[in-house]
Amino acid sequence: MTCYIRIFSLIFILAGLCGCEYNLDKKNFRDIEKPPASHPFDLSLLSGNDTIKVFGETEITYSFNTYGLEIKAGVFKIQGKTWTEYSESGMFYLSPEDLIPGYDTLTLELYTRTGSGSLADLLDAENYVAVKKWLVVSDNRPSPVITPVKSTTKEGFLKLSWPKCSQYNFNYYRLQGTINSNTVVRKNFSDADSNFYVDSCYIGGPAIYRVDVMVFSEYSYNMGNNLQFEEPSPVLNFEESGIDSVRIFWNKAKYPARYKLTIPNTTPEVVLLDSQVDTSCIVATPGFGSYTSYDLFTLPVNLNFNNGYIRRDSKYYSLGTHFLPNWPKYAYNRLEKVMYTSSYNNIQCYDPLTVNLLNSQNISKLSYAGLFSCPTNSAKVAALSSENIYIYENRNLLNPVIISLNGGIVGDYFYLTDNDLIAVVRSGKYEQIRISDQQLIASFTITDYPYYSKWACFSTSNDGEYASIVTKNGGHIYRIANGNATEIYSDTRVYRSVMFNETDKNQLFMTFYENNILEVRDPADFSLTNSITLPGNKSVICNIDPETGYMLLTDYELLYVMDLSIPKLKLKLRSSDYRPRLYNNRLFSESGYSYDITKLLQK
Amino acid sequence: MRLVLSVICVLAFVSIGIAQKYKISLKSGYGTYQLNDLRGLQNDFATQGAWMHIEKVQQLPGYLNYSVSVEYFVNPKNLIGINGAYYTTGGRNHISDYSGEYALNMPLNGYRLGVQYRNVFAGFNKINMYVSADGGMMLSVLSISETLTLYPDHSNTEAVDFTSISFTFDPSVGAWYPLAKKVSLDISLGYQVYLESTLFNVDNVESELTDFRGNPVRLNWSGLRLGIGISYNLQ
Repeated sequence: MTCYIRIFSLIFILAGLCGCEYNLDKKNFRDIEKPPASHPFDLSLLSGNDTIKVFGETEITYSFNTYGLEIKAGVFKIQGKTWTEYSESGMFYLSPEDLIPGYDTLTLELYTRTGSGSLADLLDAENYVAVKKWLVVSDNRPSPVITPVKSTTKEGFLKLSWPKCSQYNFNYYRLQGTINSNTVVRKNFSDADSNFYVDSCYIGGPAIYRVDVMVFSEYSYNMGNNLQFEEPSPVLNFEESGIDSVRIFWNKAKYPARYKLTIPNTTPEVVLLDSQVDTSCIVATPGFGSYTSYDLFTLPVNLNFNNGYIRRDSKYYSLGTHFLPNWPKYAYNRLEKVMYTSSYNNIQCYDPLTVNLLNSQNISKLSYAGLFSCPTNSAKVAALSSENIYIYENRNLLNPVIISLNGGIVGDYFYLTDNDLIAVVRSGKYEQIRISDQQLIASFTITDYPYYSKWACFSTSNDGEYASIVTKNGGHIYRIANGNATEIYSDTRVYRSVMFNETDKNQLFMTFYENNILEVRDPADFSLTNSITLPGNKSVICNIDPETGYMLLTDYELLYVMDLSIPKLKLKLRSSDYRPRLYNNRLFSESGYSYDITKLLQK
Repeated sequence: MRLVLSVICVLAFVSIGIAQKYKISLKSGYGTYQLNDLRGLQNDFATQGAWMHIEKVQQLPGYLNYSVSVEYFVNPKNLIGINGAYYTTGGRNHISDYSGEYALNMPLNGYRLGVQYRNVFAGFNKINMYVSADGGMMLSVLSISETLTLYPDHSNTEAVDFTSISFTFDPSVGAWYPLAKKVSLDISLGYQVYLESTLFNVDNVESELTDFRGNPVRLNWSGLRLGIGISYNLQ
């Protein structure tokens, strides 16, 4: 029994010692409700639209409305980069340098407390997570440098094309076109697929087109390469079409165009042609000795065009070749077959056939006053300036005999006879001067001084014996002998012009205002030796071609070339020149033109 | 420690078989403990976790203790012997809800081993009154474990053990009342005086336990001791 008690006591002790430790098992349980499974959130980016464009350092401004919940963190993520924000509103920056160019997604993971107050809530182990995504496009590559190319549409218009820009930061193409040094095109194309432009206004001329690609980047663009070319534009050309007409034509433009041919400085504007088809027209010639300017405007067919596209070609057309300035007068030496005239203060010698200058010599006070005359029996030539008379032996124009006159007076008539006399009309006087001793051998005052075509109203026979002066009031013939000038005939007919035949002093040609008769009279007794009907009234005798014998007459509208031997009108030519001459089938005008009428005379 | 005490008890019982005039006492009682520093440390923990609504649910209260003694009758009035005792209490901070649970457990156990002297100074009827003086060493073990569990699958526990050794002196008065020829009921009331001691980390004895202000946490088991038990005379 004692043994059992001992064993029982031992077990009791051991059990008591092992099982009597103070128990820590009281609880503090909070009976709170679980938070709802979902919660509304309003997450927005104030700086972003549907797609956030990151083409430069971009500020991303956010604003969260958690409807009362405390934000633990808002984590923005894109391409492995994160921005952690802790407030309801704020901003951060996205840099395209940190992103691969292209489209991607910016993801926001917003963590908030649940607000339940639970242990997990308090320990950040219980959250609401709101996820929102935005499409992001980023690119900060510099703009490409592109070069446009040109082609032609099926309608024939100029088409400019350029490579498409595939960059995400594309903003717009800027096309700039400079035509004829005028900026005529400046257009922007905001669609990257719009990579061509039809310039229906370009019709030719120097052109520079450039396309700049503008991008949304810090350095917004690089200048494109120029496409530079020049398509020939229409140019005026002239072609004689008969005696009285000229054909004006031009090359057709490469691109559709409208052609407008006008005469400039006319009011109202004279338009000779306005067409999209025709490239030529025939118009009346301006006549010998004058010119007409023409403007050819090549215009775009598109009505809404910039004036900078317009091409203008201006040219003048004249019948003959202009070769002298300042209203030159002429003389012809039939022995040397050269023509004398002046250019400013230079007496000049030309080959009338080629109009090549053979010699030139300066003479003081010659400009605007120069008159020239050649005898029929020598190579001499005499020139009259406003202060001297110069007599040269030949076309070398050396060592002239100089006869001084009272200075400052421009002569109206000047003639060198075959026997070395000089006839000159100045200051209302007719004078004859002998070259050999430079003496004035005769002089008389002209009481009825010519007013109209005065240059054609004086004439002296080739030996100086006779002089004739005609006006609308009548005609006078003087005989000059032994220093005396005696009027041997006068009448009151209405004369237009008078001229002695240079090779026959007994032939005096006379024309009239009121008829078309050319009378040939003997100055000795004023007997009528011939009467020739002219093609028109009021004809003024210009000269007789020393080589052909044809007489040149003018009524200041038309020139007439008459073969007096038949008699026959050889040529009628429009001209308003004041003092034309005919030498060796070449016409010379006071306006400085020459014109070869050989072919016309042969017709 | 429990193992050590068990071995001592077993040895005591074994010695019974060879001893005469011995008295074996088994006693259980209730004791109060000052342990103010430890309660302060628990307060610090609770205050720190107040935002989680952590509350002190058990704060080192007075609790049952157990003791055993083997005495030798020097004469019928005086006994000397050895004794061992076990004290246990603990503090607990806690919060739980649907989402998880947090618990800070601070079980504190003390193991005393000492000698005692008992003098029977009076007797009337069958009751013998005595005074007793015990003295000895006391080994204390404090475990601080903090467990956080978040449902359904997160749990984390951190624990650290501290230990301390100090001296105690327990004066008491009591009485025996015989229940049978060799068995009597033993009742006593005393006060345990504990020499305050610091707690050292078991894993690093140079690291002592301090409160949140850096002050050492001193252990003090002092307090009233009320005991009741059974004595068995081996005479």
